[in-house]
Amino acid sequence: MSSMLVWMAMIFWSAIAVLIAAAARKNLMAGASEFFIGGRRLRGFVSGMTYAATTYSAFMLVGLVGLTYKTGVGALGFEMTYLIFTVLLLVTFGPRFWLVGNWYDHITPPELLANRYRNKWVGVVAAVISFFMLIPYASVQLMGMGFLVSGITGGEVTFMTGVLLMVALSGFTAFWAGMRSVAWTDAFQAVTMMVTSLGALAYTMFHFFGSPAGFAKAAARDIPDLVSFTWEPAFFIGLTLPWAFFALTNPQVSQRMYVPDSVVSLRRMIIYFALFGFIYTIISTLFGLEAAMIMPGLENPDTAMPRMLSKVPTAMGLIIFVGIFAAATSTLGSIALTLGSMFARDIAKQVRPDISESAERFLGQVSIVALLGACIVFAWLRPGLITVISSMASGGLLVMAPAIVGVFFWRRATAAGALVSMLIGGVVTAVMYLAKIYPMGWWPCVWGGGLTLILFLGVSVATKPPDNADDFINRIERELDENNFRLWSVKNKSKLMEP
Amino acid sequence: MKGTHFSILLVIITAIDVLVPYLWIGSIPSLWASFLFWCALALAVILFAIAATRKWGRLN
Repeated sequence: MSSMLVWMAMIFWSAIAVLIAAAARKNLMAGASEFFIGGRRLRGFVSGMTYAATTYSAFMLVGLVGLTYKTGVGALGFEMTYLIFTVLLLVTFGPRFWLVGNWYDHITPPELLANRYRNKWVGVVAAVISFFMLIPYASVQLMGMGFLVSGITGGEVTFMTGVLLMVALSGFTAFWAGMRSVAWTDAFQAVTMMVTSLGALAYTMFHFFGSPAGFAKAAARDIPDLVSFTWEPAFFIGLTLPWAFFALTNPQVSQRMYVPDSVVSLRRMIIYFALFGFIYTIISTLFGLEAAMIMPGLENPDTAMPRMLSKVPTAMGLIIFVGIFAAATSTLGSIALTLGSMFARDIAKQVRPDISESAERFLGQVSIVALLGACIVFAWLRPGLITVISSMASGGLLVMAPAIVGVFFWRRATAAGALVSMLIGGVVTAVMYLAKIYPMGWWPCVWGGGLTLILFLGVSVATKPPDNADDFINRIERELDENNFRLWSVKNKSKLMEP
Repeated sequence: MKGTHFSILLVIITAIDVLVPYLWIGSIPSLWASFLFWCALALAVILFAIAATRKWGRLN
């Protein structure tokens, strides 16, 4: 594909995103919560789309397509399982995060842990684990984009040019106007992702197979192994387990439970995200199966989607490319903003509790630049262990799940239990991933997750719970009862009305 | 949703999500079978979420 066309597509699309960011900045007010979580004033559609664009990265149209290409419909099961768990977690934890965030003015997820466990170190440790795991994950987005741009232009646009352009755009939206800008551009990016991928799927389905029925017939005839579920249980569970709890353990998404302006918007966020995820997952896996029939025998399955771009007309290829660019950029911007807020709130403010909100916001902005700089260096080094590191990132964050669940559902949960389980569980999981230790064939996240749970339960039982545990949980449960948050609630005393 | 309801649902859905593919779907070499199973399960959960949250924030 001509490098001029690729440049034009990226510049045109980036210009629209910048205009949206500029419009978002006009509504930006003072304060840390305004910058980091949009002042808790986002409506349902924008909340849902920013959740979707943050969750669904370039992995979907590159990694998931490659995974389907290589292993078949098991990839659909893996990604749908993620969606199912996420929807359930959002319905259960969404109102709790949202209520507590409003009461205590929480901006970051680790603040919730520090508050409930009455120990600032719980928040600091959760923040440090997030940094350690998410910087490599963000760098993978950059590297994916660098390889894609360089690949489709035959090297005319270099790997580092793609990396730097993506950093510039995502960094700009996060730095300039914080969450409001990131959320609005995310909404635009999510719509771009959906429209471009749907259009491309329809084109490829009819162009190469005549019709959806023709596609199904060809799949049964040409790739019978891929249309059967053949995944080993250890592989399925190892890959799915960290993603099943992604909605709780990844701060860039769990922070989004704070942003809706009302419970009505929170509900719409969940529903819009769920519908988006459902359709996008089907599209991505169908692309993988199509690629397996159109271009069989690829050595590296991750190149399936980039190679598909050369099999379709230039305009269609550019559309797909823009969709992937949007997915990668939105995820990177959201991670940068979340990590920036965590540096300001969970680390700097713990060291200097008296810093002003404007200083907090400034520190967040500086750390966004520093984090993106670290991601550029990481991408530039192109570590050979990139697949291992990305697996470690998702598996490593799983160690926060017991402590987060304990916040709302276990009165006996203690700070010591949370600290010990996250620290030891995190180190053990990371070491097992890096040293490629898979006892009895089971993935490190299974062992690390199990160890974390045992440590959390054991240490909590052996230590004294914080005095506020009963009040904290009772207040939430009372509020849930009084505001129709229950599944089969009969109470009718709504206080949290639509704005 | 209460913690107990969530836990019960999670166990039921995990059991369906893991057991059905290995005991049944895996032996059917059909694109439709796999797609239908996971799409139906996901859609059922989404519809459940829509129903379970319908009263959120409603003025009575």
